[in-house]
This record gives sequence, C-alpha cells and structure tokens, in this order.
Amino acid sequence: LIYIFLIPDTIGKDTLVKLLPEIKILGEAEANLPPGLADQEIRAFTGKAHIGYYSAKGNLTALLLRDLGSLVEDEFAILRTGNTKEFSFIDLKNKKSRVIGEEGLPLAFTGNPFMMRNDQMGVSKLGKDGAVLWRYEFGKIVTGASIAHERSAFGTLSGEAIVLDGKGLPLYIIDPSAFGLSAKYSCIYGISLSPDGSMLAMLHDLEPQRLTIFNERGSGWGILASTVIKKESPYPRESMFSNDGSQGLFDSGEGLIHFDAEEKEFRHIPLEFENVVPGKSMISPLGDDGFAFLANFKHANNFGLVINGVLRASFPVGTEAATLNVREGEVDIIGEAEIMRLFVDSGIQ
Amino acid sequence: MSKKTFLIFCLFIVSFSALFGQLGIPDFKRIIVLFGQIASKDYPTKGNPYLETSILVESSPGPLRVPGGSKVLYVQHIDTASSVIAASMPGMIAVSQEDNLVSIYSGNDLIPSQNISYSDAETIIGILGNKVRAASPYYFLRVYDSKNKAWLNPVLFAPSLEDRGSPQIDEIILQGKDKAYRYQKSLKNRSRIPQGRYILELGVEDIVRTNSVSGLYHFRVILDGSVIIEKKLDSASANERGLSFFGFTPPSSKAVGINNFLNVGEISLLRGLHNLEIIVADYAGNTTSVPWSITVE
Repeated sequence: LIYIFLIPDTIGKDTLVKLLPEIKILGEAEANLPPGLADQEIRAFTGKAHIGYYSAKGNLTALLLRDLGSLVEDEFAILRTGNTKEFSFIDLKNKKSRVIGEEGLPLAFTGNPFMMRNDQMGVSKLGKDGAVLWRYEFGKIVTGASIAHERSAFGTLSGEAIVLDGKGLPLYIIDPSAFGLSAKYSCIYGISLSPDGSMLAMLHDLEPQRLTIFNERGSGWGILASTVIKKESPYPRESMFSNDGSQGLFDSGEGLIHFDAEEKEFRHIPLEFENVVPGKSMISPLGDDGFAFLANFKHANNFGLVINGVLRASFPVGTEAATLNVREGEVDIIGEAEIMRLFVDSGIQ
Repeated sequence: MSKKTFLIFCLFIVSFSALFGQLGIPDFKRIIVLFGQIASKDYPTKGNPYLETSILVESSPGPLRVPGGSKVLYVQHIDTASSVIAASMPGMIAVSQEDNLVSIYSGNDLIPSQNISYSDAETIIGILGNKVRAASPYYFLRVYDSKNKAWLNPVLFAPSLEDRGSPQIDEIILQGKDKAYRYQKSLKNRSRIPQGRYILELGVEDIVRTNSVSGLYHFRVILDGSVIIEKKLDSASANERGLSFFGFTPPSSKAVGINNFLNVGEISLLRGLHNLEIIVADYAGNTTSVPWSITVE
C-alpha cells in the first residue's frame, strides 16, 4: 500500500490519500452489454473513447465504444439498439429494456435520466423504467441543469434559470437582471441546486460575469451572495454544492471559488488554471463537506481535494484523466486506458 | 397580424440589409428551411412533437467565420467535462449581433474553437468538417431576438435562394371532435361533413428540387371568398411555457394536430354548400392552392 501525505492539515490532522490498484481499460469493445451484468456491484464509467462498467473489486466487466448519445449509469444504460436509430432504456436492476421512442439525446443529471431534444429547448424526464414521466418545452436553449430534492433547475442561453417541481411544472423563473445584476450579455454558464433545493448557484452573464448564490425566501428567491468573475469566458464551467449543502465550489476560470453558505462568503483558491482547453475542470462532492476536482494548472492535469474550503491535496494525474467517479471515500479518476483509484480519508471526524 | 408581429416584421425590413452579412452564412452549398416544420415526426410517441426553429446550411469544410465586432456569447464543445449537456450534445456557438439578435450555430459537423481570438475583420468561431460521411458538412442556424423574446425565421436573413418549386400539399384534414375528414383529390363529388368546429391540419412540405429551398412561409385559408385564416412562419415567441407558433399558446406542440400534421387553425362550418381553398406559399413566393368543395349537413 502506498500512502501519500500531502499538504499539512490546518486543523491538525492529515489528509490521507491511499492509492488503490488501477483498472486497465483494455480489450475489444462489445456490441451490447453482457447478460447478468448487474448481478454484481457495478460502477459505470464514461471515458473519452469508451464507456462501460467495472466491479467494486476493480475488474472491468463491460466495455463499449462511446458514441454520441450512449449513456451508462450504475442502475441503467441508454443505448442505441438493433438497426434503429432509436434509444433503448436498459434497466439493469430489473433486467428489462424498452424503446424510449423520444426524439433527442439521453442525458443523466445526478443519476436522473432525461431525453434532451435535438434543438436543446425541451426535455423529457424518464422514470426508473425508462417511461416518460413528463415533458417540458423551455422555448429557450438549455445550457445547464441541476437536479435535487424533487426539483430540477435549468439554465438557459437567454440568461434565466427555470426551476421545475417533481412533476415538471414551473415553480420559479430566476432572472439575475430582475435582482439588479445587470450585464451587457445574458447567459447561464453553470448552475447548481443545493441538495435540499433551497439554494441555487448560477455562473451567469458576460461583461461582467458573476457567480451568484440565490436562496429561497418564502414564495420567492433572494440573493444570498454574489461576486464578479475576473476571468470571464463563454464556456460552461463547473459549479457544485457539497453533499451537506453547507459549501459550494466553483470554477472561476483562474482557480476555484469556495462558498461558505453559513458565513455567506466567497473565498478564492488561486490555482492559475490554464484554460488551454476550457471547461476541462471537473468537481465532485466528497464526503459531507469536501470536494474532489480535476483541473489543468502548473502545466499538468491535476487531481485535488478541497475540504472545508482549504486546498488539502493536489498532484498531477496524467493528461488523459478526464472524469471523476466519487463514492464516499473512494475516488476513481477515469483516463483513456486506465482508471486510477484513490481512497481519501479527510481526517475529519 | 398582431401589433407585436407587425413590429417584428418592421424590424426585419429595417435590419435586413445590415444583418445580411452579419449572421455569418459563408459560401453555403445548400440551405433547407426547417423553421415551423414538425421535428419529431418520425417518432411514434404523440406526446412530443415540436416545431423547428432552424435552417440547415450545407457548406464547404473549413473555418466558420463571423464578422469582426461580433461577441461570442456561448460555446458548447463535446470535450467539456464540466458540463453534462456540453459533453452530450453536438457543438454549439452563440454569437451576439447588433439589434439584440443572437445567432446560434450547432451540429455534429461543427467543432467550436477551443479558444476564440477576436479581430476587427472577422472571427473564426469553429471548424466545419465531416469525418464520417462523404457528403459536405452542415450545421443548423437559429436566430433569437432577445429584445422581443422570439425566434426569427433565419431565412429572412439569408441571401436570396433560387427556389422555383411550389410547396406540396399532401394532406388536408378537418379534424372534428370525434372524427377526421380528409380531402381526397380523386373524389368527384362534394365532401359531406356534419356542421361544427374543425381543426384544419395540413400535411405540407417545400420539396427540395434545387440546391436550396426557401421553406414554407405563408398560409391562407379562404372560405366562400373570405379569408378566414392567414398566418406566417416569420417568428415564434418564446416564454416560460415554450414556443408559440401561429399565435397558438405554447408549447409548440399546440401547432401540431392529433393526426401529426400542422395545425393551421380552427374553422367553423355551418350547414350549406361551401368552397374552401387552402393556399400555401414558400418564402420565395411559389404558391400551391387546393380548392375543396364541401356540403355541410
């Protein structure tokens, strides 16, 4: 076992990152998912060229070529099947499948399946069996979405967020300009609902670009905090709340911005992001109040940990690392040919 | 024509010449107007029809340029790990133009630039290429009027298209409360239908006969010499419940009848002999007309 002690913990304990055996993504891609796939505990992964599943023990159990629209999640997969262009929903748990019959491409937001219309102006929410639960036409191009607590929030190219309830009915339209946050150009670049659905983070507009945290107040929403982004850009950027909703972590284009919901304060974590390829950063909640992230800085693709607003670890992980799979303390970094596995003990009781 | 529609139409006329070059329609090979057409016609589910807001532009491989001074508002690239939508959907670039217009370019053949450097002369916003098919690459163009919150038919800003073919009316249906009555060309006698209110559904398309097609544009319904429906596919307003075509309340599925054809409007037919005439024109002015003699009982 390899133990790496990284940055000293400011509260007196150490962040422990233990390297687990890596998983090789090698072999011939299959045409279909193998039968009995879900008989063991499996984890879905999406790499640059491949998608598939690996077991909790670290064995590759299914490997498919990634194409536009193919989607794998832990409990279901949405794939084009047969000779048709249509997508089928494969319920791995109950070993059932059905043709979805909806136009568009499949997406999943925190495990919730949707079909996004090809014009990106409407969605169909799918249930656990792949049946359509509801549809909503926004009339505007959707640029981002976040699902939490029976609510779904969609950011639009026109600069508003539309919050729908669990039945797909509109609850709120949140337009930053209506709160006095005017800008020359309107657009939503990042959106995130807190786990209880009471806070909404939006990275929005250009000239200036702002990160604003809204919170629900009675029958409406108000601004909890807002900050101007110095290095504005027209690319979507990651924004995420922690699992306990007490904190947020956001890509500012030049580093990370941490938000403490209790103190209503932003804190910049300067990392000198290198946006050679914009939108490459990725943030995942870790534990109750921590985050794991991937980002380009210091001339490398880095994995890092932010716990309670403090950068606790960062180290290069190779240029091919593209996405993160986080389950409790286990973090899997998905590369092109291998999945690097880490066990993270934040050291906080 | 409503006051709002009239104002938008005036905007077209005033801005047309200025916008002509701004939208960045380069040396296109072919344009097919999809605006107002039913998008999900091939899918069996009746619940999800919607109307298109784009035109399809087939072009040569190479850079996609917009004139200098345009502001790139949004870039969606499949390699964007930070966004589920960007990583799953085709490439998209939104460019802010003058007069509160936003032009949106999207499609599988469009690779948005990773870093956009602006210049006074022109800006390269992406590359058009097609690695899979031997055919020319294409992209979809949409135009949003952010001031009036409406999608505009992009053909209004396109160079004049050589379109000598008239639209083709394949189906005319009067959909009653319980039953549908179809126009049959071969029927020599008058159609006999009961008195009542009917939704008029049209199965109509502007057939691609040349390199480009100007698209369905103008719908007119004449009953016994009087115009009872006149609608244009010039714009579709956008609000929180979706898209509004032909003046119907959103979503756009309201403009699709239960037979999965365009719902042009509702007409009331009283007892007696009636002559119904349906006239459809494309944007180039080519017109098709179908008369339908009806006995209402």
